[in-house]
Parts: sequence; structure tokens; C-alpha cells
Amino acid sequence: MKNNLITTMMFLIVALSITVACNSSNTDSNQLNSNQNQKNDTTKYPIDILDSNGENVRIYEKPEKIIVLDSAAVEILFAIGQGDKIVGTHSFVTHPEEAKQIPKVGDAFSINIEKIIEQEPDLVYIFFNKFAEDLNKNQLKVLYIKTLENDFSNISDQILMWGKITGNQDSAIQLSEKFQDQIENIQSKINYQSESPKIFIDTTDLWTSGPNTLMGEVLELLNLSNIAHDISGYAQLNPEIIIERNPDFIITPNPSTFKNNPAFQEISAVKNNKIFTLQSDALSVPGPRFPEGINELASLIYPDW
Amino acid sequence: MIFPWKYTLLSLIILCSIMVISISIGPVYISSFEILKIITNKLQIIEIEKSWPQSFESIILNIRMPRVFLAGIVGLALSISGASYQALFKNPLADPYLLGIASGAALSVTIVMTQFENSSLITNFIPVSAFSGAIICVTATYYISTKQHGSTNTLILSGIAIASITQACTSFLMLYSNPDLRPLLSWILGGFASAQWDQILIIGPYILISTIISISISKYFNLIQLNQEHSQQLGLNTQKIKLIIVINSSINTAAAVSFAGIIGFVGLICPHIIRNIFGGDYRNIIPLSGIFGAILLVLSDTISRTILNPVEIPVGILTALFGGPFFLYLLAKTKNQN
Amino acid sequence: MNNLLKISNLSFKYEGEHILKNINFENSTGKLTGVIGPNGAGKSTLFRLITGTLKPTNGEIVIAGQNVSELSIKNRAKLVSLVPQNPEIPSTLSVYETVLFGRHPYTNFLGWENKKDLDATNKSLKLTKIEHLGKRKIQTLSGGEKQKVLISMSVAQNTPITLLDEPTSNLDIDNQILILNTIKNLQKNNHSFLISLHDLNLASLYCDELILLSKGKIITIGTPKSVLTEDNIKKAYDTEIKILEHPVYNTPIITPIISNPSK
Repeated sequence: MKNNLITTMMFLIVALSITVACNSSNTDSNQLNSNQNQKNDTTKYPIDILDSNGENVRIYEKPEKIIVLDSAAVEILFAIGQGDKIVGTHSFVTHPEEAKQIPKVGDAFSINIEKIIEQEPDLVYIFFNKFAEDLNKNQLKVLYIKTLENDFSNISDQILMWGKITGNQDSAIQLSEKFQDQIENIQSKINYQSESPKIFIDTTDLWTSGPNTLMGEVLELLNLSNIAHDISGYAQLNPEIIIERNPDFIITPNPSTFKNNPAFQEISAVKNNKIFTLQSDALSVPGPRFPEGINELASLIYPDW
Repeated sequence: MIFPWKYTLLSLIILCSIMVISISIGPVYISSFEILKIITNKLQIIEIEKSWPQSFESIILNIRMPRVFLAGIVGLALSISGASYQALFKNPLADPYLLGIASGAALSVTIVMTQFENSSLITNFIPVSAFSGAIICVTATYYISTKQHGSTNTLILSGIAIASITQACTSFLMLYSNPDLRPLLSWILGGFASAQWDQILIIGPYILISTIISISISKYFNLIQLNQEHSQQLGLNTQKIKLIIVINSSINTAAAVSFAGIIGFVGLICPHIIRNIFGGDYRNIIPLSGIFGAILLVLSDTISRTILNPVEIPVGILTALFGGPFFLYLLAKTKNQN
Repeated sequence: MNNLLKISNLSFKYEGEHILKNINFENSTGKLTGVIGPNGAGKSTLFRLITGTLKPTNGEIVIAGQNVSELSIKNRAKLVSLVPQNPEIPSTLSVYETVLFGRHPYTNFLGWENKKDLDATNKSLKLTKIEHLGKRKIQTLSGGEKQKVLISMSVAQNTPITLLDEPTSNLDIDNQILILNTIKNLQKNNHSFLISLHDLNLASLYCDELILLSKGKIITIGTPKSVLTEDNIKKAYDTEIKILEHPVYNTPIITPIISNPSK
């Protein structure tokens, strides 16, 4: 009984750090950049997209019905005006508002193959390899691109990839440029010479992100010093370490964890009441809203942002 | 009366020294002399000039000490309730999770976490909900089984049935509710990272009272090992005593899981080892396995917070990881002896 | 006559069926009374009614002047002790600890024993001649020794009457005799026993009085000589037998007759 529980938990943890942290795709190796500077609205099909298994997926014509099991990709498609092509998503998609009306054909842990087939999609986009085989067996065109674990600049490559796939490269280029502008704008506001304030990002119960994560990179961009600089990936930080490293800021969904615990009263973030909660989930979806999330975090730290 | 004073005192001394050692170990190095000064100062035995940073005081007094004490009383509670269930079911493989207690607690914590938005409310509500979930499940299990004359088998079977139902509900809620599930996972994996004195004050009295009750009635644990007709003819109201054991142990378990989450194997292994060493008299098993459980969990927690510095490992993973193989070794060893 | 056990008009129904019907019977102190009869005759039910585990549908059982069904569990335990047919004793307990269980009805509400209980335990170990086993663990005992421990426990319980449910059923002949001799010996010390036995010859040899049950009714009560007749056995067991006489004690001995005499 207990063992089952633990196995399930371990699986859920893995799955969750994937969904919550970063539902995106790694397009490092996509051969897209050649098209980037051509103002070209129509894609010449067929096109080849390199998936995360290192294989080319050939798309013969413009897909009209797409299943997107990934929050970031859904946001990108809506942002480039192709949201109406989505015929199925997974149940954790929260943004934009219209996306909530799209049929749910799966979640982070399972997919409903019958429902997917029923939609007769031209393309099924997944971030989790587990389902690829099942989908392939049913003669579905599958594009599997692994979850983005770090390097959020890849978001802009992913935007371009979707522009190419949907034959909508103009809007994609615009959106990608807007994304890069936003990031550059944030960079320009930061004085990297000044001392970095120390920060602790608590996701819950002292679980936090290390430097090699999307969150870790955001902190670096904002010239913040992550007190969890010596962990890899996601982990639960020892409370003694938090006291010793004495963060100036704490970001947490549960401020009471720190405010009500006598052990944390000497931490400067607690003494100076610098404990904040992020209101939007933009930083947990590496899509077009990601810069908004960075701005939200920055405005909590820097008073005149 | 026969009470193992000698062994109890000896194991209490071992427990105390392990707790002291455990308090002096941690990712942040604080010398033993300084720890001594901090504690002496706090107890106001003698005036000591404060020569240490305030953060050391927080770490010793508000992190390590509550942590070590919480681990201790949770180990005590899990181990004693494990021994009690083993006596009740006449089955050395019984443990606090058998009656659907842990799964009941997990379900109600899941309900609270997935159905309520206010996160600070959730944090405060976890222990209460774990407690009520555990009690509801045990009551259901016991009620169903007494409908069938309360035999041990029906008790175990209805416990398993209740556990399956609650686990199915938990999985369903986890899969089909939107909120961030990490607090829930973190709770289920178990641990003492956020131990506080307040938590000890809340669950301590329950554990203390139910431990005292268990030790006082440990003679009855022996008597219910006889067949039911026989023990009744010795003047034992078996239905009543079984009900007392179930309620008492469930309160104990619920108190243990409410803050520490689900920590497996302690309730199974500790009584087993004590039984191997001291024999089958529950007047030995109850107090000694309780202390042994405390020792085991304090040690496990010390390992879980220091071995991957600065990262914590959920202590439930650790007990299962080390407990499993050790248990298999014990099984193999007893078989050879026979 | 001093009435130790008095059963009057006792009936017990289970799911509408009579398991026992109109049982009447009296017994006095210091007797070894055997209950015999075929399987399903109601021996176990009778024992359970006397111990108070079951409540009679009709009639009453009075032991030493007290109505069993009106007593608390603990007070019943001071009147009747039981040596069950399938005992479960924790194998890692010692003989002494096990016999000490017999003192439970006299302990306080936490079940802790005092000096008096320890003395009574020592005394009953001596009476059953197992003092030398005191420190041994139950798992190291032979079947006969285990049975003696159980009898010793019932002696420690110090009740006016002890019920023995098939105490010889799993034993070889040497241990059967050993156990019955132990019981007989205790009887000399004025202990009273109600014993159920399958072996009619042993019942004949050891019991002062026999109760022959069949289909929930008493066929007859009396001395072994008056109960163990060819007619009575035919009635109860539906089996042809012949009665011989014991060469030493003159008690009846039962020998079966093969119904299909191919010999």
C-alpha cells in the first residue's frame, strides 16, 4: 500500500515539476532560423521539424486541427492568432480565457486516445514521450518536443516554430521580436553592477528552484542572488540554511510559513516584511506571458520598476 | 506487575544521547559549547553573556530542537500504535496503515488542499483534517467489521477495502483538480522540515495520553493473543478492550501523521525488532518499541537533513529505503532459525 | 446435596432451530462429569452456555447459587474456567507468564498482579506438577506439557468448576493418560470438572458421571455403567456395539461391531 503510494508520489513529483515548472519545448536544434529574416507569410510545405528524439517529423500541409498537450504552446498559438486550430488540450491549461472552452483530451499523467482520434487531428503536440507510441499506432502525426528545463530564450524559437508549422510566420516573427524586446527592456532596467539582493523562492514547504532552472535564470536576469545556488533542479532546502543565508526577499504562496514560524523571525525578509506572493501563473508557463511574469517579480523587488 | 524498568531506563538514556547528538548536528556548524551556552541561557539557569549570532539561537531553539522532539514523539506514536495493531490482529505484519488510517488522513488532507483556495487556511487546517479523516476511516472500518461479529479477518479486510476506496478518491482528486499539488505531495512524503514547538504542543498531549494508556493496558495485549472464548473466560471483555485499542491507537496514529505526514515502516519494524530481542510479552514490547521508534526516527531525520546538504530528503523515503531491506533481512533470518 | 451446578429447562435456538432442548441436570462439588455424544449433539453449545459466551433462549444455569447470564464477564470468570479445545498461546511467553493469566479475574482494572496472585500461580504449578517448566517458553513444550499449562492456568483461576473441552483430542495415549491423571489428581483436591470427551472408553474409565447427549437432548445421565449400554449407544450414535468389562476396574468397555462382517 505504502509502496504504491511512494511510487505514485515519485511519479507525480516528476510529472509536476514538468508541468508546473516548464511546459515548453526545446527547439535548439530546429532548422528554423534560416527562415527568420524572410518576410514570408506562407510556409512552403512539406516542412521538417526536428523532434526531441532527434528525428525529423515531416509535415506535408498546413494543419487545420491540432491537439496541443502543453500550456505554453496553447498560449503561443493563441498569441499568433491560430488558437482556433486547437481542437484539444490538457486539463491544466488556464490561459487564455478562450482556451478553457477547448475539449480536454488528457492531463499531465494520461491521455484519452479515443477522444483524440475522435477530433481527427492533423497534428498532436506532446511534451512527454510516454504517449508517442500509442498515438503513432493510431496513424496520428505526432510532434514530441521535450519539456524546456532551462534557457528561456528558447521560447522565442518555439514561437517561430509554431509560425512555420501553421503557415503564419509574420505574426510569429512579430511575437518573437516582442518577446525579445521585453526581455531586453528588462535587462536594460537592471543595474548589474549593484549588489544583488538575496532571495528565496519557496514553491511550498521550502521546495525551491536551483540555478539551472527557468526560475534560476529569471533571478539571474533580475540581478537577484538565489540563496539556493548550490542545489540542482528542484529540492527542499533545509530551514537552517535559509536562516543562515538570510534572504532579503521571500517569494512564497504561503507567507504564513515564514511569518508564523518563530524560527524565521530573524531573517531580514521577515523582519522587513518583504515576503511576497506572485499573483499570476505567468512564470510557470514559459510562453508569451513569461516576460510579464518576470516584470511582476521585478516590481515586487524593485520599488520604482 | 512486571514492567521492564531496567531496559526502559537504558533505552531512554540511549534516546536522550541520540537526541543531544542530533541537536548538535546540522548543515550549519554550531559548536557543542555554543549550543550548551544557548540552551543554558534560554533556560535561565545562569546568566551568560550573549556571544553568538541571533541566527544560531533560532537554528538551535526553533529548528533543531522542535525537529528532534517532533521526530521523537512521532516515532514513539507510530511504533506503539504499530505494536498495538499487531497485538490486536495477532499478526506481526499489521501496521498503522492497515486500517485505512493513513489513507483516510491522506484523503481528507487532499480534499482540503484541492477544494479550498486560501493557502494559509490550508496550512492551519492540515492537522485537523488528517485527524478527522483518520478517525472517520477507523470508525467506518470498525463499524463494518463489527457487523460481521468483529473477527480479526473481517477487520483487516474491511480496513483494506476502506483504504482502497479512500486511495482511489485521493488519486482521483489529485488527477482531476487544478491547484498546485506540491504541498500535498510534500505532506504525503512526510518530513519534519517545518517542525515547530506549536505542533508539538498540539499533538504532544494526544500522544502522551495514548502512550500512557497503551502501556497501562499492555497486559491486555497479551490476553487478547489467546483465542477469544478463552480470554473471555479469563474475565476479559474482548469487544470492549479491542474497541479501546482501536480508538487509542488511531488517535495516536492520527496525531503522528497530522504534521509529519505519512512515514512508513517505523510502526512495522520497531515492534518486530523488539519482539525478536525481548520476546512476545507486550508489557516489554509496548514501552521498548516506543522508545526504539523514537530513536529510529530521530536518527532518520538527522540523516535526511544532513546527508544531501543543503537539501532535505523526505524522511518517509529514507525510512522506506532503509527499513525495507532491513525488514527483508529480518524475515530471512527468522526463517533460518526455524 | 450441595448444588454446584444446576441447569434447569435449558434450551438454545439458533436461526430458528433447536440446538439444545430442555436440558435439566444437577451436579455437586468434587465430581468429574463427562459430557459425551456424537458430533453435533450440542456439547460445545452446552459448554458455551455454561461459560456465558452464549445466552440461553430458555431456562437458566446456576453455578454456586449465581445465575450465569446475570453476571458480568469478570464475575463469570470467577465461577467457571475453561480449557479450550484449540488454544492460542503466544509462543514466546513463558509457562509462568501463561499460568499467571489465570489470575486475571482477580486483578485490578489494569490487569496487574499482586503477591497473592503470584503465590496462587506457584501453587497451581505445583498442583499440576509443572514447577520445573516455569521459565520455559511455550514454543519449546510438547503437546502434553502445553495441555498441562492450560489446566494449570484454570487451576490458578480458582473457580468452583472447570470446563475441559476435549483435552485429550490431539494427544497420544501416553499423554492422554497423563492429562486425565492430572485431572483426577486435582479432583482429589476437591476440584470439580465438566469434561467433554470423544473417547468413550476413557470417559468410562475416568468419569464419575456421564451425560449422554444426542440431537440437543439428554438421552441419559448416570454412572458410566448405567449410561454406556448397548441400547443407549445405539440411540445416540446409531451404531452397533458390544459392552465388555474392564479387567481391572470393572468399568464398561465399548467395542464396535463391524456391520458388514466379511471377517
